[in-house]
Amino acid sequence: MKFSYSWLNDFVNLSNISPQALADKLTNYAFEVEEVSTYGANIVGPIIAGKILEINPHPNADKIRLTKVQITDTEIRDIVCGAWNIEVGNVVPVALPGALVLNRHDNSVLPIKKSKIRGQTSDGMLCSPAELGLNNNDSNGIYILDNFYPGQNLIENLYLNQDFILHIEPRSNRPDALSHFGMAREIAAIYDLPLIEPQTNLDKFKQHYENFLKLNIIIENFDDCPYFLLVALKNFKTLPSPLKIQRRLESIGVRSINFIVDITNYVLHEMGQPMHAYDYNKLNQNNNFIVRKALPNEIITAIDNREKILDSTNLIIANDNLPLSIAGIMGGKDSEISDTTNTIVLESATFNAKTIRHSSRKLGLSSDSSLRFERGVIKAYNLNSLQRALYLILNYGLTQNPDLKYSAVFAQGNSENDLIELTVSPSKINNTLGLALTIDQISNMLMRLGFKIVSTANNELVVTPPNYRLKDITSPIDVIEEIARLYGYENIPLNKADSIDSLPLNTNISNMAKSVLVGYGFNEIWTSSLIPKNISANSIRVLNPISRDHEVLRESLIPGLIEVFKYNLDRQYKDIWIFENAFTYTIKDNNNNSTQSLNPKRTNVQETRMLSALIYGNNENSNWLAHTKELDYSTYFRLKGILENVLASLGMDLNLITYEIINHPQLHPGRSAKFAYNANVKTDIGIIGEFHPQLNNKFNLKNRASLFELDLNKCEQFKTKAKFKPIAVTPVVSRDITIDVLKNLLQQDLKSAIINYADSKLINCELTSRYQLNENTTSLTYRLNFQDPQATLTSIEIDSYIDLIKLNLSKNYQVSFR
Amino acid sequence: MVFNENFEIELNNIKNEALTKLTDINKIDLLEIWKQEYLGRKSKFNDLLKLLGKIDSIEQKKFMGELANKIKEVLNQAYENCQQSLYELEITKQIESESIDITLPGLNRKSGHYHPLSLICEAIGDIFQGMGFNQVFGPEVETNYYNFDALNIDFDHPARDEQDTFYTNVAPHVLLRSQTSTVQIRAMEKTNPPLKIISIGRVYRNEEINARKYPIFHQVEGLYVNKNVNFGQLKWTLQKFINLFFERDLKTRFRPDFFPFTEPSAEVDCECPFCETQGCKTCGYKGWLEILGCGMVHPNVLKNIGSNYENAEGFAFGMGVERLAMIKFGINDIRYFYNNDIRFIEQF
Repeated sequence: MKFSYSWLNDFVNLSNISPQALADKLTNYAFEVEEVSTYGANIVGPIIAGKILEINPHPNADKIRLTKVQITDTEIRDIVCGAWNIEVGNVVPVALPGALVLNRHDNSVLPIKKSKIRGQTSDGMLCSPAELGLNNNDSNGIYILDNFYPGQNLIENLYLNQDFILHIEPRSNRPDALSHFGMAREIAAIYDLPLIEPQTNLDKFKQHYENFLKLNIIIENFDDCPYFLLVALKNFKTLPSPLKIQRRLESIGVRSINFIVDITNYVLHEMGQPMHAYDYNKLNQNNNFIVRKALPNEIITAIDNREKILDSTNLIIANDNLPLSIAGIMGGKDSEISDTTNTIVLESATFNAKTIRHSSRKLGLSSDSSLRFERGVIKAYNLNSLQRALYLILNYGLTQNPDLKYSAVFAQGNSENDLIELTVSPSKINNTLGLALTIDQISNMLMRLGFKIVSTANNELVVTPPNYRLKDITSPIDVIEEIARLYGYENIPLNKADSIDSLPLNTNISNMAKSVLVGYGFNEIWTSSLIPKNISANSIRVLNPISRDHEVLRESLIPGLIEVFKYNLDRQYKDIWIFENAFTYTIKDNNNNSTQSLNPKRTNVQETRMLSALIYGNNENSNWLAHTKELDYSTYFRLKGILENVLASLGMDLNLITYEIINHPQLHPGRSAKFAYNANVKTDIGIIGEFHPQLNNKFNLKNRASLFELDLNKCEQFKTKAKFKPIAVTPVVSRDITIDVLKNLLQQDLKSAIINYADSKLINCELTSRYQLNENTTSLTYRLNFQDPQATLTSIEIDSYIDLIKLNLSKNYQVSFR
Repeated sequence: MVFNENFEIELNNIKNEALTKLTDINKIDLLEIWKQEYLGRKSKFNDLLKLLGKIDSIEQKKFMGELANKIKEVLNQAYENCQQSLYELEITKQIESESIDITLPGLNRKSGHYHPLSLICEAIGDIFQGMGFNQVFGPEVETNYYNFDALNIDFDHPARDEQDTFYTNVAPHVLLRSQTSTVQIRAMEKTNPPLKIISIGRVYRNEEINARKYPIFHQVEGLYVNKNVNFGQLKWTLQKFINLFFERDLKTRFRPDFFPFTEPSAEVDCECPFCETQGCKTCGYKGWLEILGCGMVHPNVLKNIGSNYENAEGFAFGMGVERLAMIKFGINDIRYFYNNDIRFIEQF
């Protein structure tokens, strides 16, 4: 929101405070000032009004003339002038030597000096609007002034001074500071300066009061509109908006419309009170103003020339059946002020903030008015603001409208506020802020902020907040905040926080898994947890998604993994090794849904920490030595090996993991598996597999890709702590055993059978080679390592172990040995 | 005597011949042949030694024997010297033949990289852990209660609008949390004061995607509740954090602000680490960077938790992870974090 420095200066004396200093102070004490900009050119006096007495030809030039200009009662100057729109008797702006104006060619600074132009003395310069930094259209000629007399200071009267504009971020809890007067009040409190009230006293216009009509205000529901005021003005003839008001409004980005609208806008930005003006002559002698909810499908054409279809969400001001305006948001076209308006009705009211917000949202329509009503207009200022508007209209309008009359003020509703008393002790204030303020210091600060001190007895403060702060000061902590603010956050000393006993450390198992994968050369990705809608009926859907791409919460990390794979593939990446460590989301136990969700603290949603990884390509820097040809299914086994190292890093026993072939839409049906951990019960913990051939074709892949997804929440349950085992000094004895098996016997089953049948002296068993004998038979060689920590094993003992294994295998499986 | 003289000449001849031949030898196997020829059992030298027994004079015999031994020693020595120098020559040759261009590239896998948000989360977690804050976690799918009610956010507050918060089909009160402040409430419900926690996690806002905004982002929430917690301690804690995070001492600015769940509340700026308040692209020519929001926990929030918290005081703060990452690494578009271009991730 824009604030004019000179406008603020109307209400608080800023002569010792520069615009930038003010901006810094406001930023640190109340409101963030985002920017300080300038408005208008830097025009410097003396620039005064002068009356042209004579116009004579220049003896040495055709295009310029000599003028004699009266600049005070007694002083006449010779000034050379090149413009031809002037006549004797015109009053025009005269820049005297020493003044700074604008060069009309390039807007650069033009210093005025006494000079000779083609041999003739010129003691100043007659100025066009452009040379004075004014944006009038007819800026080619000299500015012909109306109603000015020689000697008048034009810097003051034409508002030629450069102004500074403070761009201040409004605060949702401070509706009282959405105006120049409100902001000035805040500034006065911060700097401890006196506040100057705006002129609202109508005494000097008493003779223009006339009881010429009666208006009836009917408020349907006082919750929507607690207070509503109207006043009427008659014998109005349109007139230009005062220059000062035009300049001020323009400086804060408000376009000048006409006299009345400009005044209501001026009061809006000065007092924070939105006002509305009706053309009484368009109301067909109907004096009823009804504040009510709109009927379904009631229609109004607003002043933006658009038809609005209303409903009971919208509060309106109606004249019996005809809607006149959408309360607090926008006026109606039918009663809009125009150049022919003769009798005006001005409205100043308080509307319920929620009512206006809902109404505004429903219509998709907001305005300077609605933004203020939504935050809360200060009821205590309804009447003040109405009087301020009347004062300005009469003050600026009477010269040209001497017959202007104003009516009595008609009111409905209650202007009284319920004031509250708050009790707060200085010790509480000092404890919260880490300060040592006395009760007097605190009282003094609160009084600066407009609080009334009711009592200071028993070392407790009882205070009443000012009537313009009833919204945001409702409890003792609000008073403490005001003290903190006025004392200055910057002045509160740093204070080391106490240390307390820590809770047990929350070690995150995903860190270990992540470091294993990064070590393998994987890049970590973070993908959106909101993904496009899928076939799953159980997914958690967002009711108000920003787009179709962000509609449901993911139940698996695989879609994101494939998405990122594709993104990088499309960018010519040949090796893509990526992983993600993130949550998936599912609805727990669907049957019991209704009873569970009644509990307002429960969501019935399971969030599971998952780890996913994908490999494509071999992820090596170019190998200039040699290229090893890989088997076409090697990515699966390569990833499986990585997965097993990840599981081992989580403290899981690899011997307890079993794999089982699965069907998964994205994975190769012959090369994908789910895997389980067999601690006490068998628990599925993840899936691994190669891309489905269809997916390969879709992406036109040159190599195979494989991925896995692992449930870290489940792994967490099986995590074991490292424990030292003594290192045996006896020798390890190795023995190879080669077994021919039928193809349908899974290696995993054969190996666990070997381990099962082996003596406890077997310390490990590893597949060392695999050979496809024919279509149905493969030959597998295992290396078995035996060790007895107590004694050296003899070959007779080893032979007996091997024989036992062979015997049992032959009994239970269709195997032969070599 | 003639015989004796001949014998001596013969010995010296063999010696000279052997030594001369040795100078031409440049290979170990030739040296071995030489050894056979001159020092082996069937060598001329050995043949001569066999004649030694036929010398009658004991004196002569002794003299010749000594001479022969001396010569044998000389030849043995020459053999060893030659063997040593040939070995050295061999190694030198091997080294020469095996020399490589030591500037050829090393053979390696590409190294993996953590996502920059991981790095920032870890750095933030470490700093606060060092100040005694415990890291805790809370769910992303939340209820109206934890996201709004318990945080003193009015029933009619605009943040509750569908235009700001994502609601779900799970139940009318179930939403995607719009702030990590939810974890404050969950932590306090679980533990009695004193309590000192941080929580880092994902939050959701109904916002269109652009360079500055993404509907998904991450926040850090901090909370300290105890007896006699004050605003000065909050300032100390955050000043420490900012200095540690940016790895240098930076000026800070605590500005009054308004949040429903804290009072007094402040927005904290730090002096732009890139331009020292002179104004640059990173700080938008303001000289200051908005880093976080904070304040003293609102009494209504504490009261809601229960009697254990009624007389406690606390401070809380929250900050955006993406924003801190963007500042720290000079990233100008939030979408980079979620596109996951490998060329982006590899930079961190």
